[in-house]
Amino acid sequence: MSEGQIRYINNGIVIDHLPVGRKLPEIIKILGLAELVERDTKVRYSTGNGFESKRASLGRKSFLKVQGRMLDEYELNLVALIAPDATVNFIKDGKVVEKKKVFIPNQLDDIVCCVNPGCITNHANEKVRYNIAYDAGSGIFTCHYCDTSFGLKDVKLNLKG
Amino acid sequence: MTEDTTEKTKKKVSASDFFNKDVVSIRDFSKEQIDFVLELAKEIEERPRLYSEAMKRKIMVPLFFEPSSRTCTSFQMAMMRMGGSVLDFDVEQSSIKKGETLKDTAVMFRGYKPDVVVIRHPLEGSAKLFADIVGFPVINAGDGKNQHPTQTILDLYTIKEILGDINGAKIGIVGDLKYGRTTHSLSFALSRYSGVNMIYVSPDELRMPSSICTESRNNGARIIEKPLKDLERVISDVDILYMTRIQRERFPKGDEGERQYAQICSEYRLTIKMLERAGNKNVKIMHPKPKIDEIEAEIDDSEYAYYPKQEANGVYNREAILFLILGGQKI
Repeated sequence: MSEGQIRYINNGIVIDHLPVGRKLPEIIKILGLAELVERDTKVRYSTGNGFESKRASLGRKSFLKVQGRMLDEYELNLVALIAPDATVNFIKDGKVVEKKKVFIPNQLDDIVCCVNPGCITNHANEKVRYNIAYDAGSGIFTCHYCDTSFGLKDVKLNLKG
Repeated sequence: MTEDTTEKTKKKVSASDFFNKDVVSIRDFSKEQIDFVLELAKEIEERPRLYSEAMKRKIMVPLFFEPSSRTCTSFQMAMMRMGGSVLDFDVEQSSIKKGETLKDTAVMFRGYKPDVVVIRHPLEGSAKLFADIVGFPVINAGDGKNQHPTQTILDLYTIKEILGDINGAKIGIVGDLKYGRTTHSLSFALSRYSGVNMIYVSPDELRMPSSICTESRNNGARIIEKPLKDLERVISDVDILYMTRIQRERFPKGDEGERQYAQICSEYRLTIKMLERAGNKNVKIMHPKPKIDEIEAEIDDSEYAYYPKQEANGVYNREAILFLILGGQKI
C-alpha cells in the first residue's frame, strides 16, 4: 500500500509544520503524489496529523513523509501556497542532509487560477493555461493575460483530480 | 515599452522605442512615451500629406469579435490615410463562429504574417494571448472590461487640445465608474501628470473602484468623489466633463436589474439648462461614445460639446500609433 505509515525514511523528504485539518489532501494533490505512486512503485507517502508544534503560530501541526523520491524545488515551493510556514527536510541514507523553508515561486504555471471571471483563462473552451506571476515583496499575484492582481487569501488552486 | 521607471523617465524617448511593440495596456507606456505619441498625432493632424505613404505595402487586420463603430473604422481610416491596406476579415463568416479557439485563430495569422492585428474581444486578456502567439505587433482595441489603450491616448490628446496642457487639468469623470474601462485607464494615465484634479461623479452603485482611487492618489492626483445628484454643482469646478454611458449589460438580468437600470438612467442626464445654470461657459463635454440618453440632444450642437472632435482625434492618434510600431517613413 502506498499511503501507509512510514516509520523511517532512507531516501526522501519530510514536509513539516503543515497546518492541521483539510489542507493535507490539497498538499498531496499539489505535489501530485497520487500520480507519482501510481507511476513508481518505490514511492510511498504517509501523513501525520495533530502533533504538537513548537511554533506558537501553528499550535498543532501535521507532516507529510515521502519515501523514494526527491521532489524538485519548484514542486516543493508550491506547498507555500497552502502552508507558508512549511519546512522541507531532505533525507539521504537515513540522515537529514538539508532543511529548507518553502517560498511561493515567482512564476506559477497552471497552478493558481485568475480571480477575474472575465479572464480568458477562466473560459474552458479557449483552453488557455493559467499563468500567474507572484511578487514576493508585495505579496501580490498578477495574471499574465488580464493583469488582474490579488493576494494570497484570494488564491484558488487549480488542482486536478 | 515598459512601466514608467526612474530609469525610463531619464531616458529621452525616440521613435525606435515603439518599433515592433504591442499596444496591449496603457500601462505599457511611460508618461513621456505617451507625450511623444501625442506630439506625433498633432503633426499628423496638421500635416497629413507627410504621412500619406507611410504605411505603403503594410497590411492591417482588424479582428473585431464585438461590435464597434468608431474604433474599428478609425483604425481602418488611419491605415488607409497612410497608404496601407486593410484586410476585410469578417468574424461572423469565419471558423470562429464554429467554435474555433482564439489561440487557433492566432496561430493562423502567425502563418499569414500581416504587419499588425487590431483586436477587440469580449474576454479579458485576449489581446495579450494573441500577442504572445503571433510574433508581429498587436493592438488591443478593447478586451472585455479590461483595457482600451488607444481610447485613453486619444482622450489625453483631446484634453491637451482643449486645455493646452494636461498638467493641472480639472476633470469631472461621470457615469459608470465601476465597470467603465475607459474611466479606469484615463484616471491612471491622468494621475501621472502633475497637479491633476479629478472629481468622480457616479451613482452609489457604480462608484470608482477603491483600487483606482488609491492608485491615482498615490500618483499625486487630487481625487474627490461626488454623488450623481451633485453633477450640476461639479460643472462649475471643472474644465472638462468626461461623460460615460451607463452600461445596461452590467446590471443583473430580470425585473430587478431592469428597475435599477431605469432608476439610474432617469437620474442621469446632462441638460443644456444644467450647463447654463452652472455658469461655466468654458466647460467642454467629452464622451468616449456610444452615448444613449445621458446627454441631452441640444448639447450636441452647442459650444460645450467636444465629443465630435474627440472622435475625429481617434484617427490621428491611431495613425501615430501605427506609424510608430510599424516603423513608418515620412515623405
